[in-house]
Amino acid sequence: MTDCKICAIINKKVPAKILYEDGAVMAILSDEPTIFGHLLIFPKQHHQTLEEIDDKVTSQLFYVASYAATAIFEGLGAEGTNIVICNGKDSSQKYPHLVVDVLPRKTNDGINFQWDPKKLTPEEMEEMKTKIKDKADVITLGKEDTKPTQAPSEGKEETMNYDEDNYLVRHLRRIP
Amino acid sequence: MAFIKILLEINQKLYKLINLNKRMELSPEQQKALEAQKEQCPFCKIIKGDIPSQKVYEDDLITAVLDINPANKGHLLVMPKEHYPIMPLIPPKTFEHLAIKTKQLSKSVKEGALVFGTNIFIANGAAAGQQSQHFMLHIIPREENDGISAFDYEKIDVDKAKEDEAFKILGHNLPKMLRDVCKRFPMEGIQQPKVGYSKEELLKIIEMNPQLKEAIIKSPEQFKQMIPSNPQLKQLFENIDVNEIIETVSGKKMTNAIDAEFNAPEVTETPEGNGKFDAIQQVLQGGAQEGITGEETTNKDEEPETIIDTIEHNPKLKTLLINDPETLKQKIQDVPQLQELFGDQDIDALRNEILEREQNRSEESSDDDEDQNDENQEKSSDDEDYDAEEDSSNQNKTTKIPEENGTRSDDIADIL
Repeated sequence: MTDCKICAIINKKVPAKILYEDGAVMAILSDEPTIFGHLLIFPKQHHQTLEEIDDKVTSQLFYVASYAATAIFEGLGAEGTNIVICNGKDSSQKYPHLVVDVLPRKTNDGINFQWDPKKLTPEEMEEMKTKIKDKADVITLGKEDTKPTQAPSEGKEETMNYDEDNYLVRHLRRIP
Repeated sequence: MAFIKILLEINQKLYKLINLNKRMELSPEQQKALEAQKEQCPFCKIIKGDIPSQKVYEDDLITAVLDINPANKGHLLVMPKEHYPIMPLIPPKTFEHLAIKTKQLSKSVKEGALVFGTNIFIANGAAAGQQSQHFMLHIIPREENDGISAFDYEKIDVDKAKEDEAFKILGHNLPKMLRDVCKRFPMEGIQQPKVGYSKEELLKIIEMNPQLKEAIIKSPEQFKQMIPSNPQLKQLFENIDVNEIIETVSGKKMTNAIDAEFNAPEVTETPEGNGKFDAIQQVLQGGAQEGITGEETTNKDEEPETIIDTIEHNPKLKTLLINDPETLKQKIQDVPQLQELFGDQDIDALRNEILEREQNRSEESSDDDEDQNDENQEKSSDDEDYDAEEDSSNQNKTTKIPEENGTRSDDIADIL
């Protein structure tokens, strides 16, 4: 992406305070901080959402964010830290490039991440759960799943017995 | 072969010491407190199923449930099943799993709640809004005009000097902390984040190990040949000019020999070069503290003070300064570490100051010295800077390692 500010930083076309860099991610000190010590961590490949990033880079991103939070605790004397990802449209995302914000926090620093809870009826909760669970059941069966035996479809394949009613199998048997 | 074995053992110990990526370890008391906390934790009960919840996803490491006080419809909480109050306590395997599943669950939320965006939110510490003692990650679905404004950051003006200072501290600490993590994605070409040991660190390591040092000084050629064939040595000397190290170490030996002439009894008590090692350590710690407080103006005024303290803590150095300032001046020019320690200090002025102090001191000076040393170690262990922590642990260990290995020095001498 040519007009992406983050990509320009990655390609060293725009100067930035780079704190850490490896083959996949980069950490910088934000030039538009919302608080003193505001860090940005982003993947080097241009993606707008977390879902587009591959697993290894995702975990690297989280690792670096986690260590950055620890570094802020120790180095800047923060009392707490927030790690925030604005992921996709309508999520207050600033750039069209996925960025993890790491913010040092102090009591009464003026930042408020508290939200007003919305009231949902038990039926609405149940409905939400079913909707998300249905998707999660499929999506979380990615190839990195450490327990393939849990996947029902794979289980069936392994124990497939040549059922007389299975048309396809019968068809296969007929082939000499 | 015995020689290699000893080197391996030494290196393993050092690796444990210097490995900054070792995340938090709990003391038995903390462990007990954690167990008590765990029994009270409502989220542990939710995970176990003792408290009913809307479970969306579950495997053997993590659980995801719907938040009962959602910021938006479909607000998810992703938690490790085990009770970890803070993020650094999560073991790497669980952490990685959490990251990947978060990604997948975020996609599930987007598709399930029919939205295009999510906010992923982690709060560490009460000041950041962490309300439960069980670590968790929020996935909040977002829609247009949903009334959530928490994630619309406003830019503030930060003091330039303060920002530069933060850049200096974090730019130094973060790559060190991520030393192992960055190996997952090595980078070609552009300046590599520091992997392995720097020359200074390596010199410290050698200084801490009389046997290793002796081996380098006595048979540098043999040592050089050993490095490529021994993976641990190879790792130790990665990206480092071996010849330079050998030269520096041999140079130090010369100065130590001069030291021995001046205060022979002390050498028998403490292993060679230990006094000087402490001196370097203290200077490094001084430097680290300077970096963290950032009160450079006051620090500059205090500089002579800290050097005097350093000298006071190193009887060897002190005796040399009092008895023979000329030799010391010469040595300062020869040895880079000493040069760093003294900088542009006026040796004669320092000597006068030390002598004055010596006169004022009561007869129990030796006891005082010990107290001061203890204080110093305590101070360093409280220090927040990463390097200082490393140094203090090294400092504690310096007294141990030579003792443990001391009996083997004869073995090495035989082999060589």
